[in-house]
Amino acid sequence: MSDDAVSNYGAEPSAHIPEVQPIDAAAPLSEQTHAAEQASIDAAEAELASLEAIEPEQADLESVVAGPAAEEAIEVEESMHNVQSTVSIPRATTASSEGVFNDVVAEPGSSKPDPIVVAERIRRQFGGLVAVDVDRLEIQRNAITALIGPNGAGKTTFFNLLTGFDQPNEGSWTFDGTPLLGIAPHKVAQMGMVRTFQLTKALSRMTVIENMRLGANHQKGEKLVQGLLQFPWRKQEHENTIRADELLQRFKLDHVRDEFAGSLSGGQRKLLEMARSLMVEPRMVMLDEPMAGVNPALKQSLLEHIKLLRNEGRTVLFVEHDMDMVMEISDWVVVMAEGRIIAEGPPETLGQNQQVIDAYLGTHQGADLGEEE
Amino acid sequence: MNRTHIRLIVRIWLGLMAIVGVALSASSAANAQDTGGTITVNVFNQTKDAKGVATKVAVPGVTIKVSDDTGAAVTSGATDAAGKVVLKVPTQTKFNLDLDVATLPKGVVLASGQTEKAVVDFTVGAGIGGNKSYNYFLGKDDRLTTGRFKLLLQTLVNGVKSSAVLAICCIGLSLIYGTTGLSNFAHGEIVTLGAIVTWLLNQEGPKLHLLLAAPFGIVASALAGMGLERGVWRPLRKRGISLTSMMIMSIGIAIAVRYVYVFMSNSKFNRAVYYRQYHAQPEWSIGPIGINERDVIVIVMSVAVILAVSYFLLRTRQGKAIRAVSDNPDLASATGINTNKIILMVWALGGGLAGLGGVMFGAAHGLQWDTGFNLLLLLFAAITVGGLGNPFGALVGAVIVGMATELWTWVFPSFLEYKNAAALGALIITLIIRPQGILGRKERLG
Amino acid sequence: MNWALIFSNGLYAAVSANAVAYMLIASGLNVHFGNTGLLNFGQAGFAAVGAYGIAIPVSQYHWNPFAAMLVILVGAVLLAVGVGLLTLRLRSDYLAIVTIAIAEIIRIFVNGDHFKWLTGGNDGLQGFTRWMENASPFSTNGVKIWAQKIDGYRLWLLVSGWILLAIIATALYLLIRSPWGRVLKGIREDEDAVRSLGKNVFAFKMQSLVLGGVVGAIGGMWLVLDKQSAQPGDFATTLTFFAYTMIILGGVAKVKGPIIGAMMFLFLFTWVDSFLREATKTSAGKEPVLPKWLITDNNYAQVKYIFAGVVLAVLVAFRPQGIFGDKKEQAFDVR
Repeated sequence: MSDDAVSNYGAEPSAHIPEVQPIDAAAPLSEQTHAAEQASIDAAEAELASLEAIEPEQADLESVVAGPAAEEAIEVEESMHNVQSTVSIPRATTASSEGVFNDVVAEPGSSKPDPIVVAERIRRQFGGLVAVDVDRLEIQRNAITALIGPNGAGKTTFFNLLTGFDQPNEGSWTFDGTPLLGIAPHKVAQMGMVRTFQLTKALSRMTVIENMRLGANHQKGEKLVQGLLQFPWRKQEHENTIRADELLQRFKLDHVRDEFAGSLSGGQRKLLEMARSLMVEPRMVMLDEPMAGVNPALKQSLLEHIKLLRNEGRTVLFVEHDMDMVMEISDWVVVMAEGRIIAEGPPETLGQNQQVIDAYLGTHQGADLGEEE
Repeated sequence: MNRTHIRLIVRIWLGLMAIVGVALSASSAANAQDTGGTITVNVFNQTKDAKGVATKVAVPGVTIKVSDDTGAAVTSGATDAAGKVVLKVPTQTKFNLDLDVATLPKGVVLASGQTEKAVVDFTVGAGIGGNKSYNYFLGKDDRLTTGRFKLLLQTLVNGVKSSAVLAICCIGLSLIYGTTGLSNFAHGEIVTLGAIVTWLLNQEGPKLHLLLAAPFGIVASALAGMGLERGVWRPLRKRGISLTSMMIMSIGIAIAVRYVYVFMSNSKFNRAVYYRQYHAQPEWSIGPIGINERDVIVIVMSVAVILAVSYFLLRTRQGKAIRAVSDNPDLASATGINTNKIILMVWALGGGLAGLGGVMFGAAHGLQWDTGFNLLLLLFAAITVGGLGNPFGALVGAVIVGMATELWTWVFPSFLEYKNAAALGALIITLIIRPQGILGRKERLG
Repeated sequence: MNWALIFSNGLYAAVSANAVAYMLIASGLNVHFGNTGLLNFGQAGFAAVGAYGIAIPVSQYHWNPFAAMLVILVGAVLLAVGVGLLTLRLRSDYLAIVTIAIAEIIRIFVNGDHFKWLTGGNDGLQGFTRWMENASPFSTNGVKIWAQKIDGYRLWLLVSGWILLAIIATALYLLIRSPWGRVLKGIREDEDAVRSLGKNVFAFKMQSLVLGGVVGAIGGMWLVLDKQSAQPGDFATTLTFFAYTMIILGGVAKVKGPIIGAMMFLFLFTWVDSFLREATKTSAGKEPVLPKWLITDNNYAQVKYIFAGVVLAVLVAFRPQGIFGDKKEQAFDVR
């Protein structure tokens, strides 16, 4: 994919969007402010224009998704692109974040215009090792945020903390205004924050469709007495199954519907986990290395699925190592190293950020090996 | 002798008869009129010195109550300085005595076998002069705090003995869990095997001295462990069997082997059998503590073996390899350690130690077909309390479990039979407070 | 050799009231282990609750037996909740040991002299079956089927037991196939995945413990109704291990598993015993069928236990899905 990250998002680049530049500390402040202001005004205008066009465009989306019978990843990709172009949403609309991020300072802990998650002073220590030490992080609603960093940076631990799978030593965070400190992980999921796992947890000895049905939220049949009685949940089960089948179709897993999840390939399992998490009807989806172990052919379709999540109105936060993927779909990137957030910003700016380079390559990356310090 | 002398003798004899007759009739007349009698009660505190010579010490101030056969109170009185009280009763019939223990002085209780109630029955023997007597014997109160403290010391020593045997047995169990992840429910049977083989060589067959027979028992157990590993676990591990399956298999093997012991011995081991030596041991007294030669040997040997094993695990290359595999088998094998060889070593070591523990336990308590099985639960409690997978945790756990069972008997001397429940209770409490055990490590998520 | 006796003993053992009791105990355990993946090694404790729950109120305090059944229900629930609170936060390795510990503590206290006034101590309790005997429509003489004599009371227990089993098994079947059962299946696979989907794993595990515990307690009650005596020795760890053998034999996680497994296990167990008894019998100067150096009438009784242990080990090693199981759905933790 090209370096020009802007054009890859497929939407018509509006003429108002300024050339994206790393914020140059040398440039006079007034210039930057002006450019930023202009961008945000334009973004707001564009957003306004699109709000009126929301409904028909969503219908288009759906018909296109349901339509294509093609199973090749390439064809799916094409149809996805068609969706984008027929609908012609400028990115600064339903799911756009490009405009939204225009006046966000590219600094760790910067505030976002409409954050869905606000985390403060989160610290997790294991004995002497400080795994996570995040001062502040705000995650923009309805955007795709990437969380990157070298191994051991604390990304998965941070995920675990946010979703309740681990408890911080100190700190607090809110999800859509609701404080989550001390909330059990299943409740966090019920509130709409759903995560996937680095090592896929497709429930192997259950079939694909059973996996999906399990994911459905608000099931009456999951209560002991009602489960026994049968009739209270039959109808709901039927509806859930329809919804599951639709999702499976969307993720191209409908042909393995009745297979045991254990017999699926690695990539198919990733898709299953993602599809299953959508059965919970989450407002925010947190994907932990969704590309890991997935074959390149499937990667592209996975990317499109992620973009679609955002376009549906959900927030996406994902951890990834594959920089191409990160560059291609993220609206905003957060970089962690040694437990701290060392940089935030639009994806294209980070390649030049010295701190990021140092974090990945080590501070002596220019030095000769064997040179005395 | 002339007629005058004979007449004198007859007169004197008749006179004597008359006097006796009058006296007799007078006394029976007296009895007929005055049917009352007396009961003399003596209360003694009897102590035996070191040579077993008893001395009686009178106990004053003790109240004795007298009631008749219907239970109605008749009279009562307290012993004087000589420990004696004379109680008058209206008729010479049957009476019940009741010593009021509340009036006993401090430090003195009824001697064993002595009850506070007694029966004095005039109808089976009128006693001399209408008086019957009864003696109450008292003894030292062992439940005093000073006695209690001495008992505590003894209990602690017993705890050390108990912990020593447990520790020897469970190091192996912990290492097996650490290196292979298997909760080996057949470990008890390996313990029993060591004890049995030793017994066979000691009481039957060549009738070796215990100290000569024991090494054979230990070797037999070590071989059994290695046989299990090579013949059962390793091939199954290669096939990818799950840990749960292996654990349940070990349960099946344990059941089968236990009953094989009974079967092959023709039920000889249904009741406890003992070794020829070191069974009945004279007790030595070291201050307030009673201990015997066997216990000393067991404790000293245990400590020596534990130190040796610790040194082995900490300082030698093999020992470090064992700890590495225990910690992270995949990583260890990636660094070139031959995990299968290490695991075999662990089973040999663990088996041998189990056998040694079996011999020690058998020497002290005798051995039965289910000796090992009865210990198994305590062994699991010990390694769980100490932290699964950590051999030093097993030692800590063994000390805690051993001490807990003995201390229970000190705190609740009349609830001896529940002491195992106390150990299991300690297990549960430890896991509530510290779920990973004392030396265990909390697992990181992800 | 009385083959008729050997086989009819075995067949009767497979379907008797005693068998039904084991089927219930194993079914309860199957909910824990097969359906939820909980390594409950203390099922004997739940059976003991059922057993003493009927014996103590009825024989010591002359309660109405149906009131006693309420005691059983409450007792089983309390024990399940207690076990759950203690163990559900622990790793599964610890769960097995702690559940054995709890069951053993129960047995130790029931066996103790201090509680003899309540539990009958080591001797146990008798005399709590009169109400059931009175309810029997069969004459006390009973019947003789093939070579097996069955008294009227036990015939009644057998018939009513199977009816009870049918009701409970149907309920379990419906539950396991419901969304509730599906969550249990998910928990068995991977708890964290299920949590991430918004399900309260702790609550489900607790419900599973309660359900399996109550069914196990009912089984314990049937066991002592059949034996007509409640003794602590019958509720040792061996009971739990036999239940596991039955579940694995018949097929883990399937409702029919424990039922078929119990039938197979008890048939073989009894058949082996009867066979050996016949084969080592010396009667009227005749030599026993099996040579004395191999086995005598003194020690044949152990062989059935040896056999049981070997069956369990071999089964788990080579056919963990049971005789009728499907390897794909092999409901065994392949961790």
